[in-house]
Amino acid sequence: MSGGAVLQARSSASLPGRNPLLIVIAVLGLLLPGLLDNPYYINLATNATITLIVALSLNLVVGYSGQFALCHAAFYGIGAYVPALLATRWNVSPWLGLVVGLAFTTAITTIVSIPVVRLRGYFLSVATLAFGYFVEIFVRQTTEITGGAYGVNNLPILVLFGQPLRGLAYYFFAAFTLCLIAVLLTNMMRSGVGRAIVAMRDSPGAAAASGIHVTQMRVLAFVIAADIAAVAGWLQAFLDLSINPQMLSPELTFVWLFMVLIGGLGHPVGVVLGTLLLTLGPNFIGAASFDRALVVAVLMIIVALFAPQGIGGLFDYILVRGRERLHLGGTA
Amino acid sequence: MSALLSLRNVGRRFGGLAAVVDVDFEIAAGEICGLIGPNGAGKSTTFNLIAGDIAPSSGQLFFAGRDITGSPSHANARLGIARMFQAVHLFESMTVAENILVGADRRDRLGLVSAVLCTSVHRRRERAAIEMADKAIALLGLQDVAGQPAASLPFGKQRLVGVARALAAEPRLLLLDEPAAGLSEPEIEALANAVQRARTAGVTVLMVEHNVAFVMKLCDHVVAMHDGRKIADGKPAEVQGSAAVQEAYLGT
Repeated sequence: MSGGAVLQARSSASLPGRNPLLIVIAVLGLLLPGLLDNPYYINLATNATITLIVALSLNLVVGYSGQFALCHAAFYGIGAYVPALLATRWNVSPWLGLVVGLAFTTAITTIVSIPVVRLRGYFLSVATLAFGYFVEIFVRQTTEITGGAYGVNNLPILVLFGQPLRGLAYYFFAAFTLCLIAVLLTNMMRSGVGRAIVAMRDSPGAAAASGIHVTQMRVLAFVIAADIAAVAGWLQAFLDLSINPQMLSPELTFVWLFMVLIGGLGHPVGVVLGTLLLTLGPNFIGAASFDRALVVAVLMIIVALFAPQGIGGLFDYILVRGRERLHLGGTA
Repeated sequence: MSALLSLRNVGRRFGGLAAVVDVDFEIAAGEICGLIGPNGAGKSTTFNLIAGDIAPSSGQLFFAGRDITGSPSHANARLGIARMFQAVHLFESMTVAENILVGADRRDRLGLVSAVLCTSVHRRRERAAIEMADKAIALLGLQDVAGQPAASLPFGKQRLVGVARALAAEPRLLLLDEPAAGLSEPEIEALANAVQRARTAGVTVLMVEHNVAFVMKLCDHVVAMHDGRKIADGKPAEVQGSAAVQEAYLGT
């Protein structure tokens, strides 16, 4: 009699459910660029895919764990710089470089997050912003190691099973990575760990009373998000075959933050739509960088005024209203 | 000793204010104990001390023979102390069922790797949690609202969800902070039934409550406080009849 009350009630706005229709749409969408033969569009699709990885990780720390951290580009940049420098200066394989880069990111994030996650609200934002600037300035100043303001160019091409990854092959590699990360993240958010992360965001006191170690969950969300961002940075570096300090600039963090906010905090589908809108949109209207900033600003104001939960929240609202109308139609 | 929880000369000061002074009492395993007293008597502070939200300035707390003085609330929760807040504090972005699942989740280990890879170990853990949550939902009669967003429920129902979330952890000691306040008669009835059934299942209960009828009906043991001190401790009728308690409530 009681069996399944929970099972039936599983998916809510906060914790992702498994929606077969969405999975089909996502897979078809990711296969679509396979039809392209224009290198510019293939490159654009690869860039958008990498940005999607970043946006999903930013959504984990800002959306799910509720920590408004502003140093995401630092982790992304570290993930790009460590393997790139190892490869160009010491001939280390980019694959081994990825592992070293992730270990490095994990270590730095853990050290930084342990004091930082004890801060709340704006204090956390300011502290992480300071860390973001510190990393950028550090990289710009240590020219002998990092190549300073110019970065490093001649990165080796990524080789998988003897095949050099370029063009469409690189796109599919990035798309596969995105799928893998999305599946693993969804698994995590559907588990007790995901519930604990959202619970401590909603009410730290009640979460602790349920046995959740709040500080530990905050650090965990931070570290996982940083590692995913580092993977994205690695993908970007070996797509461009170059690295430069703009990759660690807090300005980049803000660009991603707008994608997540316009998409809807803690709403993965919304975040995907917001990211695609802001990465692909400007190219279709042919906007230059200044216009782009303007478009983002106007969009942000519209979202803040009319859809504070972002595109995802708007989507849910329309869905609920539609269902209500159907329901009313059925009883009338 | 059969005491599940014992407080020994526990005191807590906030700056110059002594909120709790030398409080000493024991709760036996399996009993329902009420903590009463006028406003400002130090009941809530005592509660927060037991839950681990604040550490005592003096004295010691023991739970199941273990010294829990100064141990943080998440650690106490893992030892088997569950609490329901007076202001409920549900996880607002979740459904009722998910709220109760958070209570049911085991925290002996994180299980991150098995969760991410969705292994059979993880699926077994998840099934066990769902089963426990279902039991708590049935106990409080929340089947009809299980799929609704927790924040959309009326306050009385939210309170029951808070109790279900605490009970889903299968605690040894359940702390209830004014559980009956603001509830309708049928809701109080449902709550009283749930508390009694939890006790039958082996849960010890400590509640702060102003509803005297509720306390007299449910409790086997009552502790009365006034001005941060314990003024009476015993059977409900004894405490109710005590001169010190009557004086505390009526004034002199």
